Amino acid sequence: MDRRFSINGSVVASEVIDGEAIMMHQVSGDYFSADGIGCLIWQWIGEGRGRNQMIDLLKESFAREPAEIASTVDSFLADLLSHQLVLEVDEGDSPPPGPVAKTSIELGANYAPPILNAYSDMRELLLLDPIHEVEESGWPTPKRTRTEP
Amino acid sequence: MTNAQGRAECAQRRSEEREFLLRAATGSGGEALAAYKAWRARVDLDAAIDHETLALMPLLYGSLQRLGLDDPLLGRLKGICRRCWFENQLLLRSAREAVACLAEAGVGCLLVGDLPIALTYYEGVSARSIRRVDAVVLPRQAQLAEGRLRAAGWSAGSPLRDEEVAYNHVKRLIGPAGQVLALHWHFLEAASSEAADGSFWAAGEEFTLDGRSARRLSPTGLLLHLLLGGSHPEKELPGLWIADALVVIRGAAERLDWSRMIGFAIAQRLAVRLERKLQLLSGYGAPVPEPAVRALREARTNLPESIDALVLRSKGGRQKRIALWRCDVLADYLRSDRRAGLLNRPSDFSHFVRHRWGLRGRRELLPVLARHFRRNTTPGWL
Repeated sequence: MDRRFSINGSVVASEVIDGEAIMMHQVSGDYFSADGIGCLIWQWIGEGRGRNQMIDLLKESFAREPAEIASTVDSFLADLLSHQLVLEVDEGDSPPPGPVAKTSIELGANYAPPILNAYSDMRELLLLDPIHEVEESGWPTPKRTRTEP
Repeated sequence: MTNAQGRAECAQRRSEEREFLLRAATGSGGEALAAYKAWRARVDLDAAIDHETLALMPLLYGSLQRLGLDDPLLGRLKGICRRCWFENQLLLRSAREAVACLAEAGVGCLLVGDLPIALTYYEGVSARSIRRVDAVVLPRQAQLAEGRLRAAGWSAGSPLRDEEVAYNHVKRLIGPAGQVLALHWHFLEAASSEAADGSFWAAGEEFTLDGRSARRLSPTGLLLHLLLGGSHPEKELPGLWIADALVVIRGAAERLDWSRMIGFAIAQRLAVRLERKLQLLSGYGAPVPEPAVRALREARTNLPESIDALVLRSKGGRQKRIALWRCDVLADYLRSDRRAGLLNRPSDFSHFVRHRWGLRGRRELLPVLARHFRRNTTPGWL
């Protein structure tokens, strides 16, 4: 049986910006992000796809050990569950998803394991000047202080 | 170079920078690309960036993405989008709670300003910064609304007094996390009258705010409010209002009723202001119908509009010995519902000015005017 999940919509807001999913847990106030395959999985969860289907889709697209793909996806799903960003649902609770858009799995040849970035000290991060005090990748990554060798 | 000349050059440079940024953020193709390059060549990103410029960055990011441009600044622009999205989420939650709080008290409100524009006309919550929540209520419910919001944790200094309701049009409240809610009891600062308000209330429609039903203006009402609700067109640099107006005109072209907008502006004696704003918009490629502008130009002039025209001309000149921009408060007074008798009118007007300028009392009026006159009578004033 395929494990299915749904976005915890009553307390989670999310948006995809240019291949990166950003999420906010409205109760804890924590901020999360996931790009690449993580973003794809987030979108697939939103479409109602099950764990096995997501793994099969990734196996078709990447020449990697199936066990490695399954293990990294499981780890990512566990992270999403532990932060209450998604809920596990019964198979019958959500309608079957439609076909996957071909473009959504064109991520390049390399398989980069999905990672959920979590930020909880938002008060401090909101004080950062988003132009001058961040790395080139932008907010919320603060500029590293350069230390003399 | 004198201080005045230095100030003038600085103002000119900032105005050019803003114009290029706006064209880069709202334009398309080669024009947007050229504007972006011109902006990058002029702007000093190591210097402090003002709030309005920062608020345009998510739009710029979207435009550069569409252009397929590879630029080292893209990462930081995307970061501004992320932050904009996060801050907007916090504000949306506060807005939903405020709307619920007012509804429970039996106060009907209509949301105007950044929030409905960002949620209705932009692609995603990250594309447009929502700087505050603007809610309009009926004047007779303003004190009840303010009291309920205060009880719900919004702070506003002293309670809203009858005099403030009579002479002013808005009160700023601060939420527990520093969010700003502007509680309006008139839609327009420039025409705080029952007739003007009635037109906007009639243009209300339902929408969903974070899962809850709320009210906003129809596209025509929203564009009208956007163009006439902000500050005087010559008082500040071109900013977000231009980007917003372009997005609304492009997104709701078939629902816009230009003749209704023109009719409203003429009836409320705001034709001069609307015409100027439409001219500015046309300069950014907005498809403003020429007959609309012509109808505004041909509208019969009256005292408030003569004052508006004078203010516009005073700012347009190279060197003026007397700055007139604060005179528009007189035009606003004449357009309001204030009906004091001839003898009481000077006193009534002084109350009006004191509230509009945010002074603690009328005794501050003369010192403020004197300071303003002294500052703006130097030959190099622009």
